Amino acid sequence: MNTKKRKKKEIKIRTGIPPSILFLMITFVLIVGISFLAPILFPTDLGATNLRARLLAPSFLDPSSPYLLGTDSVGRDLTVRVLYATRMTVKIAFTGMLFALTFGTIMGVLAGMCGGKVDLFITFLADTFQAVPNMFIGIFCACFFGSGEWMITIVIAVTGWYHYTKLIRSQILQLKESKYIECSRAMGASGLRIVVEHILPNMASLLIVRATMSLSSYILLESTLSYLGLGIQPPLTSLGVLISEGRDYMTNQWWLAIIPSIIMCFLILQVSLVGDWVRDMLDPKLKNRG
Amino acid sequence: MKKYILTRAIKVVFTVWFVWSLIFLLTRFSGDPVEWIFADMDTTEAMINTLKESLGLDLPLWQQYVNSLTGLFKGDAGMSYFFSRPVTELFAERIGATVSLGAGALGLAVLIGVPMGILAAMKRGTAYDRACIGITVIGHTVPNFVLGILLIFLFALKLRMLPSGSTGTWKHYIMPMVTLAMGPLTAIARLTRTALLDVIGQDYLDCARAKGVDEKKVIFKHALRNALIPVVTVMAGQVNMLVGGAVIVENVFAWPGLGTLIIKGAQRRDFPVVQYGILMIVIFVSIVNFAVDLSYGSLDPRIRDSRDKN
Repeated sequence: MNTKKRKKKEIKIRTGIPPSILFLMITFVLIVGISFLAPILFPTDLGATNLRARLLAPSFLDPSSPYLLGTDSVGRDLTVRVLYATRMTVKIAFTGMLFALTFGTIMGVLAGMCGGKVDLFITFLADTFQAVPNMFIGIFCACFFGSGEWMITIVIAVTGWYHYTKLIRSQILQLKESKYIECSRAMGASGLRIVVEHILPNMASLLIVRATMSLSSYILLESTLSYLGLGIQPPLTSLGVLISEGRDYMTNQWWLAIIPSIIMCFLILQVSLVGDWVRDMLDPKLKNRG
Repeated sequence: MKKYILTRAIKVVFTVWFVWSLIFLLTRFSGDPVEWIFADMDTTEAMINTLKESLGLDLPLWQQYVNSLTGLFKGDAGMSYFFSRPVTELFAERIGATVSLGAGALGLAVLIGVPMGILAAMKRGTAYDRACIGITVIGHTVPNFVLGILLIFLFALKLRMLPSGSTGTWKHYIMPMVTLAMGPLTAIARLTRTALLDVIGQDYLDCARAKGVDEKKVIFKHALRNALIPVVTVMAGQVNMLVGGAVIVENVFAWPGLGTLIIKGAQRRDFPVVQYGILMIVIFVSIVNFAVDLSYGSLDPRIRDSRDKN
């Protein structure tokens, strides 16, 4: 027990990261790394079927099976499909986050720096979007504009931007009053220069925390829409698609739905716990509140 | 206070109008619904024109907008393309199932979440506290639909204790309600705990204890009332989440409510159903937020005073 504790402390001192968080980070990088290399490691056509090998058990249940995680109802290797699915889910969540972050930042800077009517309008827009549950923005877009990879990315941007806008607007309103901004204005710096040189670097850490913490909700949104058939369409695949496909085989081939579910929960757990930790690191006031 | 209520009410109406206009414009720009209705059929020019006329799509855009807005005030939300029945009728049939599920889940979340949070805060650092934190982590990592599937797998397929879907007896309510309540429940528990811990360190509680007030009374009368304000704020957000979650949970458990109707509508491109469904939800969520805003005043006299001054 004592040596174990000492070891934990050693890791913490050397890296500054608690071992549990380090574990989550490493596994996250591993999962994402392998899944992004999937098209190189296991080049395959996602639509190709092999009806002779349909619904085979995974090799941890049936040692004679050559498939690590078994096969689905048309004989596709679940291992490969899970990797491609994870890749799709993570890719969409990240690009969606970048879109939301960029658009939200621009709107927030506009609202904070212009003030007046522009501020009023942007704040109203942000409040309006907040009044519509995210899920329904996704359903609406899928219904009227069709579904697919890019649509979900845009849906994530549309449902996510106002968090950043509100954060940046309130920060700018606070920073505007500070002495050094006043100084730089007195020296003749333009509004854009003040934003790029003083305000954005000041808020970078806050934005990163907010983005990391939102990432799990973007993963969730993508999977849910795909699960409902309003997101990624077969033969392409994402974790939501896999779970919805596996659902029909729950009675006998439970792993078809459960394995992708576990991977998705694990991804969300990793992202949200690491996000919490990053927040606590940057804001020591919150540290003891649990 | 009256002035505050009035300005907030105007804002709610304005938001709903804005959302409605946005939905209207976006749907008109997204393509011609007639094309979707006749997707796989051989059609003649005359058929298309008759359908357009009967749906009012041949009128200029502003006329369509005015028509649909006046129709809205008369309680006319158009016809469902798929069912060929008024949308209001379809909604009326299904709203009961959704409301009973949502209200049950919210009740469950509050009745279990708040006491769980209080106990965790009072027993801070013990095994019970840690177990509570563990459960709340599960609550926000396991998505609704995954939890639903897991429950079906365990209780319907393996143990054969509960029905896997649809409605009927009280047994049908258990799994959907638990699935839907899980997210809000854990959020409420976590927040109650944090809010209470914030308050517990305050001087006025020490003062109350020094006066000789019983510890239970200190927690429930002095601490909890102050801790509840942020909890109520979060509850408004939870209703928002609950509405979104209900759609998914209804789908997982084949629950005959509004959520299934809207999702099926989206899959079949039944535009009126989706349009008015979303509008109804926006109205509902706006009203809930409005009500929560008003309730702060009764919970915290300081907020009431500051509003009166404005």
